[in-house]
Amino acid sequence: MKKIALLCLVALLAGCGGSADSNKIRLSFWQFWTSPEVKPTIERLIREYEELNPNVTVDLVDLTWSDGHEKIVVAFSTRTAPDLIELGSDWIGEFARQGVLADISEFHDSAQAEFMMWEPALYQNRAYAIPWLLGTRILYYNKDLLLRSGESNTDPPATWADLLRQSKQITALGEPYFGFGSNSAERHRLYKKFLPFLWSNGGEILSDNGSESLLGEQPAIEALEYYVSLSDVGYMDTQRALDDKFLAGELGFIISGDWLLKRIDKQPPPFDVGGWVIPVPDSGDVSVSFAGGEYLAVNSASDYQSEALKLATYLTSEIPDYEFCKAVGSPTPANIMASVKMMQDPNALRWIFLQQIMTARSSPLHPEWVYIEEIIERAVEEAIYHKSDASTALTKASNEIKKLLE
Amino acid sequence: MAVNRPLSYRRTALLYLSPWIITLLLFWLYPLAYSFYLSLTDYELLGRTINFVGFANYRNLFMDSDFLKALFNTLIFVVGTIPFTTLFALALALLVNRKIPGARFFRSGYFIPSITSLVVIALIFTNLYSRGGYLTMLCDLVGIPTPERGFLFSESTALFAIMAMDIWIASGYYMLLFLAALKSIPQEHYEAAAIDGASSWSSFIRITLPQLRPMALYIILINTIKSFQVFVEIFVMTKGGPLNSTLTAVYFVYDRGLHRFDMGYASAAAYILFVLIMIFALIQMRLFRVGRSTAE
Repeated sequence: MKKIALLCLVALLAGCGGSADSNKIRLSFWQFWTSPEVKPTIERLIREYEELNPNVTVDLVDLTWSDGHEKIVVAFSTRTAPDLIELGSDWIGEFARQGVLADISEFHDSAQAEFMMWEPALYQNRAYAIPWLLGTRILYYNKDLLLRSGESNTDPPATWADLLRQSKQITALGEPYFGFGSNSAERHRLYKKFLPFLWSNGGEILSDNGSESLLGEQPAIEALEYYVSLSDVGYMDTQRALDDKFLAGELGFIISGDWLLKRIDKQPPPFDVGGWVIPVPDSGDVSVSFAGGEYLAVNSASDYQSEALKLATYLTSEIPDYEFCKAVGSPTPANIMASVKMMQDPNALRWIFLQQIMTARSSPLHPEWVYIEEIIERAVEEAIYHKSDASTALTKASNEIKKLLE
Repeated sequence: MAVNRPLSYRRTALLYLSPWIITLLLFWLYPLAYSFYLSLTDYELLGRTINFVGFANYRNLFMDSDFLKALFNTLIFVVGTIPFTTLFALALALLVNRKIPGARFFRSGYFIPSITSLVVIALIFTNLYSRGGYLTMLCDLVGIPTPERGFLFSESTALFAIMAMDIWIASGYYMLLFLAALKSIPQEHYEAAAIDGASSWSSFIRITLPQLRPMALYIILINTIKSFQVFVEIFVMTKGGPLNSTLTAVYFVYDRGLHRFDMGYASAAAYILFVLIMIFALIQMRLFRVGRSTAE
């Protein structure tokens, strides 16, 4: 009797092992999209992939923006990171530098023309991630406020002078109305608002080879002086609060991303919203905005690197990328064919995003970027709080960066 | 006096104690010792090598203006909140201890902030303190000048605004502890004092306060440790800004460790904070002991 029971137990345990599934590959994929509007799309795309590849099962794990970065760092340092992982464009450099991301240069060489914005994924001329979804910032404006402030038409401000003049006019209407929504000392956001002005003025943070700081040069100083003048006649708060104030019809201009577009679509505000590329110093200059995005990277310690890359390739291909960006509400998929498909959308604001992304740039991929970013933010903060003038703040920042690069 | 127990008895005792001992060793003593070791290295979270650097991290920290600013802000936070929290908690406890109608309602009401998520409260206060927020509007109504950019975006008010919120949150919890201590004071003491003709003020000074001393020590100690470790409020409301005016020691540790991955440096900062808390706690315990022996 005992023998029979033992045999049954062995058979049961053998069953648990799942001989039928033993050849199946389990891929783990960490991603950030948890909202009820996006998550079902991701799940559906994964299901479709599993149907196309019956030998693969994908374990989807959700991360949050508040602590996802820390979780990824800890996972890599404890060698428990997943096979495929979604990374923000700012993070690729730090992980690539530590050698925890698989080199996908071969894929990059064959598929380079299919995607926009490879720059944040390239480290020391090697590719470490595939662009998935891009994001940039444009100028949103309140057409009704513009007319109330005395403008004869609702044309967007094309130059710095136009933007400053119209901002002053709107602020002159009195509280609660303000011309320009200026970001406060909000870490990891403030520099993204200053850099478009710097770049559009022909300025740079670092020299081409990344060995020299150019932050103390005239174009950068002019850009910061201008940003301070805008901030002085504006309303200062966090991005979220600025978005709220703009949607309440109390802000004339705001530089914001596609998340605001989604809110406008969902609950149209009671005024006419306009959008335009970030104004330039003089007419004829190129408007360069800040670009970031979401990228898919393969863990260099994964046993299934080629399978993970195959999944990433599928997710970033035309139709899945288009459907994913549709669900997210992003007008700018990284896949060029998906972007072309997106252009069929008649929404004017989406068109501005597509126009802006063509000339947008991301922060330089530098191993010390996390420090450089903080130095820039501190300089901008000192200037907008009038602790020092733009020239002094940037010269000090430039010297700090130089010391860092030594 | 040592008692000779049989070996099996001691083994059983050890077995029963083992969950606690293992937890202590694994999750407290080991990390504590390991983080001290890390503080003597240049360990980066994603780095492949660990180099021993001696006390270089400690030396650099004392020359790091950000860290010194963080320590200074933390001290302001501790010194600025603890007396108020303790006094408010005591006053509230005395109030709700009276037999007045609705005392239970007030008791629960004052306690609610302590059991509400700190993140939720911090978000609500972020709105209250903003430029167009209710608090600013209220101040404007009664003619109190407010910072032009709102309380949290002004360098001179940001830290104090967070401290005020913290006092409001913590008072209710410590009120409950004081209340428990008040309830445990034997009623006979007050009756005897009344027969001897003591006024209610002298009863309070000579009976209530001395009886509350152990609880007050506990409250001040716990509150000191908690205040030194202030983090969530800063993380949600200001991220250390503007211009580092709300940068605190634990936020500094978090930023250097988990944002810049410089674990050696962050561990050294954490150890300095640990020593600082220990010194403060020892001073407080000593002060209270001296007070007690004088009273006796």
